[in-house]
Amino acid sequence: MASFTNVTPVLAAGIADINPGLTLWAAITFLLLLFVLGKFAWGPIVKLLDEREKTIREAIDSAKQERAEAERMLAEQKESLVHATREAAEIAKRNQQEVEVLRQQLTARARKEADELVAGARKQIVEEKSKAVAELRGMVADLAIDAASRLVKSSLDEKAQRQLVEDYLKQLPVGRA
Amino acid sequence: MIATTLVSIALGLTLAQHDGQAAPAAHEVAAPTEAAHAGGGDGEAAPGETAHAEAAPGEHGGGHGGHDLSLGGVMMHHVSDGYVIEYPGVCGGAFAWNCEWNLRETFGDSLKFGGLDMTPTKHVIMMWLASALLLLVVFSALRGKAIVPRGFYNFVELLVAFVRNEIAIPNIGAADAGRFLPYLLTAFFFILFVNLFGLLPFAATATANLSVTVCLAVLTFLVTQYAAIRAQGIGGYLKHLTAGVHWGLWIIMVPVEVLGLFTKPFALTVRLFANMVAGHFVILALLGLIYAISIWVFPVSVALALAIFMLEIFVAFVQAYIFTLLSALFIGSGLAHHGHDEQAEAHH
Repeated sequence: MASFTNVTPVLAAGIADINPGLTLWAAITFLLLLFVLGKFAWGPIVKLLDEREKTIREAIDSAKQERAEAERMLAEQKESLVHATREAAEIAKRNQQEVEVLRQQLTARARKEADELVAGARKQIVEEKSKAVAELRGMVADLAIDAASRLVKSSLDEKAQRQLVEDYLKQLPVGRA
Repeated sequence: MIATTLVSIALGLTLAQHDGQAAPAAHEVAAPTEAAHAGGGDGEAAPGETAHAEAAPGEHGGGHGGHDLSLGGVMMHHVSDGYVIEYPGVCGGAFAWNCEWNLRETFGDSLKFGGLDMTPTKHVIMMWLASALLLLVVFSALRGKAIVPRGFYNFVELLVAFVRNEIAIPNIGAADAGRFLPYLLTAFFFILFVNLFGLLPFAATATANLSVTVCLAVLTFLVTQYAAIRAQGIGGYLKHLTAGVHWGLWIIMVPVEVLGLFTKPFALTVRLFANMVAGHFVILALLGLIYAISIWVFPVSVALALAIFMLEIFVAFVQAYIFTLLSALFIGSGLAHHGHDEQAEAHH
């Protein structure tokens, strides 16, 4: 380096000189710093950096996982909700059908019963009527006979009765006697 | 606004260190004496002059410009290393902006080992102060360390995470980044703090000294070679120096590859050094206009110097980033199986 000193005024002023003592001091200072800082500062700091990176990465991973899990659960919930809605609709529909069937059955049975009732009533009416008619007929005959007998008894004397029997006898066929 | 004013004052004070030299130089350069005084000295020039005069004989003889009182000399003095630390304080029984602490006098010859002079210089002291500040900041920040961080720890962790995620892992690979991370982090923070510390008034930038940057570059070089040898084995490492070409071409390729090994740390050395020196030069040149032209240019000078100062704060980060990035890149390329080797093997 000393040979450069004549090249330019700047170098000639001595700032390009190498002072071995200074270089050695710089080396000693630097190595001491390297030892002290490396052992007590850089090591712990870098370790902490690594730890923090790991923590953050894990936090992100677990957050991602939890999110996926939550999404999956949400999808499941949605699916089950849809399922439940469909099922409820089906049940409602089925109930409606059942109610309809039951209604029809009940109606049919009611109608049948009513018909039967009507038919029975009608039959009974007919029976009662015929019985009444028969009874009436008997009574009418008795009344007629009674009336007739009363009428006949009042109008016929012995002579008339004789006449009537003779007429009747005359009317009979001759051959048979 | 308050911050702007404070930085302006700080800049003025930074230059005030040189009043002691600038004031007597008035007859040499165009700067009027009253301008030098107005720049921040205000009567401190006289004791500064005497203090400097006392210190002068003990100073490093390597021509750091301490005796050159021209503007250029002051600028050279500002960025160059020496054994005198100037600081504001009480010396000689009175307060002065430019008290001097002569390290050469304090330590004497006690740290001279043969040809090796280990006497701490101004840049060594500044480097130690910056390192102490770094330790203080990091360890006080560590109290906020938690999985959910608090306070200033967030900022330190931000830088650590930046070096790890943007520099180490992309260039070295996630598997090996952890092994080299302490080196890269220490380099990043060391350069950052030394760069930023140099921007404080009365401080000096140790990274604006080739002796310091060459040390950092050599460390990166050693780490890089270690990584390459560990990854490829000594055989693979030597084989890589031949670039996988026919042995007849080795005479060309081996020197090229060996040269390639050393250009990388050389580039690291010069880049950091030049960037840190340049900013200081520009700021001093802009403020020097006040002395060279007239005191009335100070609004322009201070505004421009302030802008450059802001840029310097940015550059402090950028240079720490670039040095660390290139170190990581070299380590990564040493670890990886080289592209041209594979290409050469494919042709066989």
